[in-house]
Amino acid sequence: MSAAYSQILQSLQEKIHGLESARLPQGEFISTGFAALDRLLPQRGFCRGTLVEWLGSQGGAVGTLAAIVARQACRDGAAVVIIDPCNRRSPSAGYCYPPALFNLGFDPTQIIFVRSKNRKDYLWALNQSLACRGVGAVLSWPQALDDRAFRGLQLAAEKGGGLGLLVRPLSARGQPTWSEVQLWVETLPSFVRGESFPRLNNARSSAKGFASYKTAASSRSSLNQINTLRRLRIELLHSRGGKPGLSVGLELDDERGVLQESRSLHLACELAVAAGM
Amino acid sequence: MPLAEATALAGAHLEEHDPEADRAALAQLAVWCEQFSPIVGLEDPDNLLLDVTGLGPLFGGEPILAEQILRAFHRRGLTIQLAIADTVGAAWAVAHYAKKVSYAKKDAKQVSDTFSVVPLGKTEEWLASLPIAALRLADETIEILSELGIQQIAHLMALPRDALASRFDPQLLQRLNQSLGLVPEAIVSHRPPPEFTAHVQLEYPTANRQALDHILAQLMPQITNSLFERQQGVIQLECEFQCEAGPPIRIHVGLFRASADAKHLLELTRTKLDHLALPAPIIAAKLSVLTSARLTSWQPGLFDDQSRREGRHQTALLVDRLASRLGRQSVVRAVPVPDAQPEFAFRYEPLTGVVPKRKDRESISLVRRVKSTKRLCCEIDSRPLNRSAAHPLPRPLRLEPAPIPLEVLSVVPNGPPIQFHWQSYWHRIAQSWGPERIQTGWWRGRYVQRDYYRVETTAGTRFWFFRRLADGKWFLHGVFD
Repeated sequence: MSAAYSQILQSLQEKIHGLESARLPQGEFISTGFAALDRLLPQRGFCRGTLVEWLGSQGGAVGTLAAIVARQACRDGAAVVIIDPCNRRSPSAGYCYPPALFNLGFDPTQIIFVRSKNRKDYLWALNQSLACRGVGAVLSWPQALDDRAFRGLQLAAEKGGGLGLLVRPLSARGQPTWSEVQLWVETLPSFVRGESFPRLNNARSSAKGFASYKTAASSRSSLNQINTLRRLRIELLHSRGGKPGLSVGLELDDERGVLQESRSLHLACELAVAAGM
Repeated sequence: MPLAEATALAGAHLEEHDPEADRAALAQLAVWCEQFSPIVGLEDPDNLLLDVTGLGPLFGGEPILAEQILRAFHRRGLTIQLAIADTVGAAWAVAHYAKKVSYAKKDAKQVSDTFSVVPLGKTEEWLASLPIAALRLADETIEILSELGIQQIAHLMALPRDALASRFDPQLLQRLNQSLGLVPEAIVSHRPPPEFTAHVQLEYPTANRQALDHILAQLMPQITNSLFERQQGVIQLECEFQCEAGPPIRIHVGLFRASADAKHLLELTRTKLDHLALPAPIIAAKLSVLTSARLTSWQPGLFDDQSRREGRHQTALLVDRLASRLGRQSVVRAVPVPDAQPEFAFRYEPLTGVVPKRKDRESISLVRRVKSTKRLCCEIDSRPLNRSAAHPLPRPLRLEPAPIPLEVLSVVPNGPPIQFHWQSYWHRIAQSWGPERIQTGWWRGRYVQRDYYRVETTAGTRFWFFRRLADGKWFLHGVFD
């Protein structure tokens, strides 16, 4: 009796798996470049020709992570299109600062910046860039995406074969989505309050129109070095054919654009990963 | 002496001076001279400038080239003075004023043709002994200089340059620099470059969009075919519509990469036309190419990566389409600029409407010239990623267009902040790094003196603040998004 029961369960599981995998995207899988992040994703990487949503709050490291993934996706020299979040309705949206991107390791000639004046043009530009076969990754900050527009973006991404990275606010969580993978990036405080505020001794940079910096690394103490890393927790909210709910704790080195495994153990994460495998 | 006397004395044949006929004859000669050089320029009344950059080896050396030219002219019955030099100015000076190198022809006929070849790099030496009239200056300048006792170019070159600039006509310094090769001078070809235009006059004025589309579709292949024959492509195209009443409507289309594809150009023009409101019916349409460039042709290799080439082509089309709808200044590339002030540490450059510079292009301007240095190619090429050491200190991913003033609490008056008020919340700061002082020189206009701090709140979000040293006010400049 129990053997038949387990057999039925197994056949049902296979059927579900078959149904789910039939909807899996066809395309090349590219690793994010960091094993810790790869473990979260189904098939250990992002699939070309799909959309990836990054949810986070302002000042969280969402944009930086998305930029790092874009850099990884375009290692072969394909163009990166960045559609600036400049938006007339919210004037303090700010724009993408190119020197920060150069610091992360981008080639200045590789990036195409696109600025648009209104939402309609923004979506049109995003659509066109995603549908272009020569573009490796598109980084954008779309504002309000209705279902139809979202579906259009997904089809465009399939046609173009590039990676569409959409950075969206936390309010998009729980809403229906056409993206392949939805990740939530949560920032954690770097250290426990109560300790004294560490301070860097940077060289004064008085400029004659040109800055001369001393490498800050030489004057940094080891305590400060640990604390300049940003602690993040990335949770997989949604993925097709994957297991949502997985999360991983990472540390981001702002200055080198490098992710590494978090030093402190997050027990819940470990258990979740073990259960999910 | 009067004309009749002169005729009687010398028995010469006299004709009236006809400058037009002279010029026409010179133009004919210029066309004939194209067998020696691709670019021939005219200079009244009796000068021909030929660009022989790189042609020496074809003829077996520049002296042999000069001999051939002399012989060819001699066969036509013309006597010339010939000089080959590095720059137009030097060649002119030597041809007109240098002591001639005597030249004996093989058949030992007595000829008064002479030529001089200025060796590479010896321009200054040869110019030094020539009179100042050899610099093609205005008569007044020559008079002033001779009054001052400056007779030879050597004396002129010995004078300090800024004195020349301040005391004389700017033309003097420019001619001197041109002769020495410090300022490029181009030979203007006597043949005007071909213009690519197509126009049509309508019998009945129309405001129908479909009719205009159809007209454009007919005009565009006329231009693109003639362009393609010459292996040229459009970089900037202008479309002009004459209205029944009012000023003509003009549409400009700029491209990232030169293209002679009629369909692509039509698509871009149509996008712009769609956004245009026609005030009155159209009576005529004209398409003209403002800037053109050579079509980049790829030699497909045997084991080439087709997808990479196709990808680049598609990217170029994408850039054209985006720029056509959003505007030329909306599709840009960022170039780092060595500047301390964060807002000016980079510069946006539009991608379309710019003629790409080839990597090692020989400048066509001068007669014989050292190869110009390599220039940057503005194509998106596939170089391996390497980290630039532009800024050892981190910069925020998002920079506010203008710094936002903040209310900030700090423990020490000149110290780091501990709380700030932004977007209707008071955020507590857990850590801060800094200060990073950025000052710009007083001669730059707006004096900037800022102490930058990188702060992290208790929630883990990071921001970039600065305190203006002039008044101690705090501003939010960037978000480490």
